[in-house]
Amino acid sequence: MQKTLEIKNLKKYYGTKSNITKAVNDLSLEVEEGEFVAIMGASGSGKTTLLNCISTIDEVTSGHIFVDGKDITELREKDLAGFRRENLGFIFQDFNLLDTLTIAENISLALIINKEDVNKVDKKVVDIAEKLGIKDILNKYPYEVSGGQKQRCACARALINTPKLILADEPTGALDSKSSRMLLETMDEMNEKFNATILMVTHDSFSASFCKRVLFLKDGKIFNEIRRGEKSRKEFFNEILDVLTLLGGDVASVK
Amino acid sequence: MSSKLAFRNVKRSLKDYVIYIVTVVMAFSLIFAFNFVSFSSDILELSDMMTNLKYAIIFVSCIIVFVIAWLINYTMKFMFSKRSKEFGTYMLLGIEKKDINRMFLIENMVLGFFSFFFSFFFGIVLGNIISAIVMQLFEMPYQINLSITLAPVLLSTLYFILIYLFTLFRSSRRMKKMKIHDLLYLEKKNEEKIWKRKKNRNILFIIFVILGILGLYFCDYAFVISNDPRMLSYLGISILLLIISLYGITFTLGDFILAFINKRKKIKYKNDNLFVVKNFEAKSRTIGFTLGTLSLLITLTLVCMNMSFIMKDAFENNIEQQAPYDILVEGMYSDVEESWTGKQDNRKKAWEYIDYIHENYEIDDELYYQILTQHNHQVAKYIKDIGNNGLYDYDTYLKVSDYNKLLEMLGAEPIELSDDEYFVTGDKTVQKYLDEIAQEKADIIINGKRLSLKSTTMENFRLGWSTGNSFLIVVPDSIAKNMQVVTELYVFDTKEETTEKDNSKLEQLGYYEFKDGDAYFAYFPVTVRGYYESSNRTAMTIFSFSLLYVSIIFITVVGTILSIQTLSDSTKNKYQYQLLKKLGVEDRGIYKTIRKQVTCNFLFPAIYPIIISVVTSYSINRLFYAVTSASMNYFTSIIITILIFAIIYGIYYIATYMTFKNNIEE
Repeated sequence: MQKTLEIKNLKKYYGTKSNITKAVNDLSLEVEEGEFVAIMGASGSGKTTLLNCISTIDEVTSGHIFVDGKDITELREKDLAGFRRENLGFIFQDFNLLDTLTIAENISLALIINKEDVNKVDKKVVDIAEKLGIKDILNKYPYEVSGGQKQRCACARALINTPKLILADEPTGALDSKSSRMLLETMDEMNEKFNATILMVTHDSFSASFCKRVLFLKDGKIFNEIRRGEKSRKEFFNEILDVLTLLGGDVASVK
Repeated sequence: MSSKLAFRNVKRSLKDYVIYIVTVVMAFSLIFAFNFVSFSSDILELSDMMTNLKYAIIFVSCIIVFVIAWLINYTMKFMFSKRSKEFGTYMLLGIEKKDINRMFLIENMVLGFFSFFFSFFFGIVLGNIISAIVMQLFEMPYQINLSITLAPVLLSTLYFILIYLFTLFRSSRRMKKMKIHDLLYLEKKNEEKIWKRKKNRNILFIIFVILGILGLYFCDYAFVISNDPRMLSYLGISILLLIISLYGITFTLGDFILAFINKRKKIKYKNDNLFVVKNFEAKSRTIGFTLGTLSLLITLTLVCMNMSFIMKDAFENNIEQQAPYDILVEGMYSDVEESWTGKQDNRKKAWEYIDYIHENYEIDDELYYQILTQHNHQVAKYIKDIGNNGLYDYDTYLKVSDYNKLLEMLGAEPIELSDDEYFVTGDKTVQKYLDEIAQEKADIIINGKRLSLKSTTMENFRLGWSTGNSFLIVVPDSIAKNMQVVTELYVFDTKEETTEKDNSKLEQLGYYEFKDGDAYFAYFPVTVRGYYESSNRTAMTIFSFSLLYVSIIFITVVGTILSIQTLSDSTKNKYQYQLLKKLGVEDRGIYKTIRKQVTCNFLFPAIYPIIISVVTSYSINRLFYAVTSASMNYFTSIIITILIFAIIYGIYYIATYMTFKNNIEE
């Protein structure tokens, strides 16, 4: 299968000479098309930094990131916007919707920017909204709807361009458990029905249990990796918890 | 696409832009109003010299353009930081940076033009008010004038374009430097410390205070030696020292206070002191430069406004001193100038001149009088630097009947003097000597008769009475015998007010050809009130209004920036205040803390400037003391200045506090 994302020896260091923080330290990973991958880890383990590097928000210190075979670390700054526009979709913890636009306008923004045929915009927006269950609120403003609805609007915006890769940073972080569940089911559906490739950063085992594969990060490196395979979600959830327990303390120090 | 988004944003985020619009409208209304006045034909026709107002206002406008550009740049930076996350999202979605930049520029230009358009209307109204005030000064009727001349419009537009070119350029550079990461996380970013080392700051604070004291001392010394050419260099050093000290103290005061409070636990842990002081210290360290500039602007505001009042008083007083009567003719005759051979001839000519005035003007009241002397120094000996204070170094007398008539013509109460009394009247320069005389109650002897001092006064004294002497001794008519004539004068009170034209006519007539061998010209010095009124009021308008223009614009700038500064804090501090609330602080306590914080923000940049302006106004007063009216002293003028400043500043303070409170409550 085609590799949607390939990371080779990625390093991202912060700070000054005397005080270096190795946020991502020599990390390599591959994500295939149609995968739904979660990255887990304690705070400070480098999850968000990794995501920021992939989304070209942050520059890498060294290493390579290939999206659909193209090395994005080699892209010049002025080409980055175009790259993001055509290849990436984003879902953030705090939604990142524009307050001045309605839900419909927020979703259509991604299309307009990509210079989609104006006549098709409205239809596409309604279609996707219907699938994600937010058709009724299309004409409302972000501050008039609930957090779950906002996040599904962000999903719609991320999905509408059929990007190669959807990046989600703690998408359930600001949601209650019911909305979280609905959102995760939506994302699962996006993955199943539209074959969307999703990379999600989370520290919540429940969220991670919706994925097909979970990577565990510690000190900027991949510590462990488990696959769901044919297991039920409950079994997978328990397995994730087991790994997390291990992750919590250093094995060597528990002798 | 970007223009469509820009227009949408303008429409939708108009509420956020209120501060911006109010700022631009106010600034440009003022610029337009003052330009409108300086080009108004009504004002220009007031006097020949009034064209200078135009140049003064243009000159001042050049300085103001810089300050306004700084202000608008600051406001734009504030709007930019407020919307950084939005821009970040645009970039994340794949909009090119140059498109976002263009959108922001279009937004600002739309708002700018919109505000500029409005400021024309406010400017005309404001301009009319200012014109009315000027016309009132000249005692002329004023009619509302809504017509617009081209020149001020073009000039204001030019200023507008210059300011916007600068700010849009700055803004687009700011945007170019920004990375998507910075934009998305700008809100969470702390401001960078300007001053990293902490150790020596307390010592530095003391050094800056000493520099400030030195600056004030040099300033005072410069005015003490005001006739010396070194004065300018002293003044220059003083200004430099004061500027360094202003910035330096702003940078270091926060830490100094913190260090002071850290050592005193009673103050430190009392109420919310720690919270407020910490906030304040962070402020002075991060935006010290901005605060320093604000302090500088406040200092300039206070000094300019104070000067404006002093100038106004000085010019008004000058009219009363130099030209108390409609027409004053002097130098008709003198006994004391022995070298003057043609004086009898001159006297004859002078009477012909007086006759001419009688024929050509309708006279309400008049007086012919003489200033007399016996070359004594009975009073003059008290006046130490007499050479500086008058033409003659001996006692000069005036008959009490003449004195009372002169007072009556001015509408003042006459004095009563018995046969064995004398009275001294003088101007402000000899005040302290008059006080000495009053204390000693020295008797004087004239023609063998002893006279005792009735009293002395500075009220009502006019320089015009005695051709430049700073004091006169008023004696009973019966005593004034066997005296030499120092000078002869003739004053008229005409029915109609005199004008500038009367002055040139009478001045020309005053010349006559005096044949003594070679051709030789002589003239009677004539003082026409109309001319003095016109020239002094013109000068007053030019100086006072230019200074007032500067100071009002500066207050506006300072108020707006402080308000923006404090309000941008309010969004950042929201979490802190919510935390305080969660920790159990009541609403009332929170309001109190907010009030303290806002008060600190507003008071901090104003205190040192107030100290500087009070001290410098004392120094400046050394120069203006002699020319201002008796009721004017440096203290009243600076108090009025500070009051006016406080009122305008207070409006900003209250508006900021209310908005701050709303922001936190939201």
